[in-house]
Amino acid sequence: MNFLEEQKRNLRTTWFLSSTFFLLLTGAGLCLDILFFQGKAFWITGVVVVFAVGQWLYAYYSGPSLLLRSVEAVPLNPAESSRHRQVQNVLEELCIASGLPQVPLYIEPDEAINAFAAGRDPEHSVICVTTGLVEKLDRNETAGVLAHELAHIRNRDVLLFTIMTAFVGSVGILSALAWRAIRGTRFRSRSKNAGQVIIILLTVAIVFWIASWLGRLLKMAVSRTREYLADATAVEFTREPDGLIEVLEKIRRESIDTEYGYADMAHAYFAQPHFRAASLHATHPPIEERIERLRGWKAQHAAEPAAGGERG
Amino acid sequence: MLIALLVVVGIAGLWLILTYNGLVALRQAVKNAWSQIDVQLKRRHDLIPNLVNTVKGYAAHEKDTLERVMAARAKATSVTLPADKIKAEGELSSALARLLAVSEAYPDLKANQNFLALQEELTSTENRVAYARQFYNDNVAKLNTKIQMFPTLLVAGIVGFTAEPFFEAPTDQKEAPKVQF
Repeated sequence: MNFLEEQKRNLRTTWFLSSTFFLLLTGAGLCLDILFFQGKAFWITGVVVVFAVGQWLYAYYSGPSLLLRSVEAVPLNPAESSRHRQVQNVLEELCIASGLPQVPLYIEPDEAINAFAAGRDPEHSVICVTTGLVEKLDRNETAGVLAHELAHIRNRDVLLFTIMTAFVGSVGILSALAWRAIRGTRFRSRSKNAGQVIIILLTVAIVFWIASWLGRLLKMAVSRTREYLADATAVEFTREPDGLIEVLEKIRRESIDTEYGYADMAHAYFAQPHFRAASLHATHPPIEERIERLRGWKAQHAAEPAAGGERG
Repeated sequence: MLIALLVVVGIAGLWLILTYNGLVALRQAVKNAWSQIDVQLKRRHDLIPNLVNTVKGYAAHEKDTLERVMAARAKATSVTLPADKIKAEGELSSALARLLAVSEAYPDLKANQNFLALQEELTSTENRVAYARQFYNDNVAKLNTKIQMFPTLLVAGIVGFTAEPFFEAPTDQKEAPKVQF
């Protein structure tokens, strides 16, 4: 596997998604303008695009801090217990194995075994683990999860995830704002063009609702393939798939509903979070399939132990 | 005709520059990886006196094992040539593995918080050394392959790039370099 190729492909996908998104919004703005204002309300397009660019820039530069806040994550303190020390140690070891700079480690309160990586490049990325992970995994299993998250950072999946989250989020916000405006208009306005305003807002709401739905589908397709690749890259770092297999087995057995986190960042996690209320598209390949692929790798390498150079 | 010649020379020149820069980048990666190994070995050397002192308090009659560790450490810190260093560090690794193996026989020692913390640090350090070595070897493999392949080998030959040595793991822990408790 050539990871430079992978990084480039991810950067291309990121740019493709970004431009598609901008075109989509500009198009939606212009359509509204032409349909309802005879092309005299260019400010609609302006507002929409400024909003989108703002979201994009905010997502890119604010980095993972917003995400970390939203799940109530705090920096992991290695002095808290010997196990905290161990998790910190394992991450530092794997940073050496991957040749990445040391990545800051955070912890979020959640009983489920999970972790996510966020950021835009290796210098501006973080990894966050759940308290469940710290409590329930041993050294080797922890290494499997952290290697997988570091793989997302090295393969530049984190940038793609950050941008995708921002886009789906901002389209969702626009849609929600439009719905809200419709309700406001219906109850407050008695003017004669209230009907027209409602039609406009309804169109906006529906267009953006569809866009956010498409965004989710896209996110699902993209992130599923990234998961397999991250598993393979993790094995490239640790040189053995057992830790990763063990932890996937454990997660499959426990399936705890998650307390924190929100649906729009499901794709960023190590394993698909179980949300109690929200129904959601699967952003992860089935755990069974991931385990199967790792076992396949193991069987293949047991058959030819001399092939040390060929990995992942 | 002249233009065609210029184009060919231009392309060849561009290729030369790109190939040379690629080789320089690879050699730099190998150097960085080597210095990372050094950092981790230093960390291991710093950890040993503390570990030996803790074990001494509980297992005084494992004098031989303890002395072997200290001797191996002294040797590893004094040698400078990469080849000697690799050998000395290998000896230190096996001396440490032996020390941890004998400490299994002392329940009081194994219950000592300080020892447990040191044990985790040692495990981690051994992993760091192993991973740094792995990363170094991967980079060496990339560089060596590139140097030996045609047509890069022409450029490498002219500007004097040579194959770098691998950091071989000691034979007794080649397959499983990672310590697991």
